[in-house]
Amino acid sequence: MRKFFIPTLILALMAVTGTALAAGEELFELEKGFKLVPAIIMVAFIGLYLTVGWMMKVKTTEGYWVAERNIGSVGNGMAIASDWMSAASFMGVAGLLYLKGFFGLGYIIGWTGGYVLLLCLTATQLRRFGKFTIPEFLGDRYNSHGIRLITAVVTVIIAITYSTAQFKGIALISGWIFGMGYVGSVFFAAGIVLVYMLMSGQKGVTKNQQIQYVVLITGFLLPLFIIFNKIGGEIGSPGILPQIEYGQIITGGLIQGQGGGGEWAQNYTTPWHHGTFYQFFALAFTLMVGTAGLPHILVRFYTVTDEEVARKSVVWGLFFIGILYWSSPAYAALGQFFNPAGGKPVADVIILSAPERAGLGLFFMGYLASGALAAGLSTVAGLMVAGAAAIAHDWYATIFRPDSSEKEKLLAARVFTAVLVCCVIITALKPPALIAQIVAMAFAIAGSSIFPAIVLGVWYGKSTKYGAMAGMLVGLIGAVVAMIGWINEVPFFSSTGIMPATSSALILAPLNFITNIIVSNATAGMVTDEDIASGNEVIRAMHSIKD
Amino acid sequence: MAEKEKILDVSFFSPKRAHVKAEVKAATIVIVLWAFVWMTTPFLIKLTGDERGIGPLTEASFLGFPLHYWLVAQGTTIGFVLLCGLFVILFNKFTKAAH
Repeated sequence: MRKFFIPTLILALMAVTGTALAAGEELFELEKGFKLVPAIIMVAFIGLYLTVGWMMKVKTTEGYWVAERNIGSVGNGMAIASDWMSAASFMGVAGLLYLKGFFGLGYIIGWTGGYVLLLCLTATQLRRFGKFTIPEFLGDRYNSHGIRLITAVVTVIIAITYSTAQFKGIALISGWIFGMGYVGSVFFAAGIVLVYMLMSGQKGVTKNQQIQYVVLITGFLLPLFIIFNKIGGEIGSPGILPQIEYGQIITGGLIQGQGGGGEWAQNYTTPWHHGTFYQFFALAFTLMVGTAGLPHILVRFYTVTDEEVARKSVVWGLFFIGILYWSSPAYAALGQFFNPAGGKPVADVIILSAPERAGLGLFFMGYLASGALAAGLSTVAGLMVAGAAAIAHDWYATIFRPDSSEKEKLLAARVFTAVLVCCVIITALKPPALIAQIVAMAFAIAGSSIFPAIVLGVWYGKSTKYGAMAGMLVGLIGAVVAMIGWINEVPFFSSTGIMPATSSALILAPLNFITNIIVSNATAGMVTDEDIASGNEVIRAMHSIKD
Repeated sequence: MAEKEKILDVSFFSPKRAHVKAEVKAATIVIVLWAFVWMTTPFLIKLTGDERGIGPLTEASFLGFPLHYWLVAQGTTIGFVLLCGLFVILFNKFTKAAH
């Protein structure tokens, strides 16, 4: 059904807007072909990351997983922000706002508000526990290899889903620069990620993430300021601070003449034009609990010096993230101003399309593209570390071969990183939705399965392994079913349904909490002395209990 | 250790130890404010607007934006950053008092 719907919609849009018909195809797309200046800039940046990765080359597993635990609060804040600001934030959010206006803000609320929950409920306690991975935390807390395995599986599913969107983003960008087709670009992207990951591990990744934050935020902001400075007169504003000046554009008066002005304005001025109150609420809620349950973000708190630094780094991280989210709607507005009839084909590349149409010039376009690449790379790196750690550390080194040597463990880490990258290549060749939507699905899985288990693990002493396992299975199965339902276009799980794959945690997270509590109380007699001792040890460490 | 060890009675809703109480207090205050910050605008739109959400909030304007749009797009995020700062301050204040 949707296959026919989208082309029909585009045709309808073209028919309505006379300009679109006259201008034809190229109105929707980016310029094709190889671009020398952007290519040079991009290759230079990749070279820089590889050099840093090589200089920070690690020899121990502690270095590979948690960067020797000596990262400070501003530095960790940057690393959080750059772990966070993926192709979804850099490209996807602007694309969704471009298509859906006000509804797209649900993504912005969701992707920032989760940090408040994370900070209040788990950041301090996880730092005090301070081992390597999230599966390890849950496994120790509940004294259960079963839970270790489920969490590891969830982590890997999240890493693959989430990275699929990043690969799509990286591939679209490198496709634009080198004039390659999509498939070639995906393999190209995979090559960069793999070489970079295998060389550096978490320490190099953390150092690079700090550099990448600077690259991606300047790459994002500079073009925006330049364009607004140029068009300030046209939109009747001084053109100094784009973040508060794009209001003129979205209310619609300015793009009337270019076709579709009234329609675009409605996206913004009519709150429930692209989704109901319920859908908006469910989306924001899901993304928030998802944020607070994402293994690769949670593991960042293990890499800092102490819990004080862990807390402060969240404030910095969220501030750095905020800078981008205050600006990305301005790109969407620019897209509407310069390319009002773009529609879905251009949504994921609107941050390239708008400046291209505004005549930004190839130097800054190249810089912008490098920023997008940095965003995608840094997130993939964080995800791959978390995913590979789940297999290599929590499954291989803890369950399967507890007596393996340091060298074997490091080798396993590298092999599994490579395997994961291969899995992502396969899924990225045919991505099921827009970048931001795919990412939202990964969040739905994290929020439905991991978040409740962690919160109860930290804050509810009576939670047992049976409760946690039952709850996690309910959440995980529910979220995966929703995702399969979305891909197969089942109405119940679609974007207008009751439980969309992007928003399923509104229902599944509370269900997980309830299941966990009920089953825990019902099985209270079944836990062994060993379970209690292991759980208590973790609880003592998390809450610094001395007695 | 012949006797079965007891499960530690940690609970968010009835914390026992002084420093845990202090931490829970800081977290509770900030989480209540968090819910207020992000839920108020959508609920107000729902309550005061028509079935498409059009109402006083969408008709008012702020910095050239429709008010409802600005509140969600920028107000909420600014609020979240401030709340994180507030949590760090409250956490330190309450836990110091508890020791």
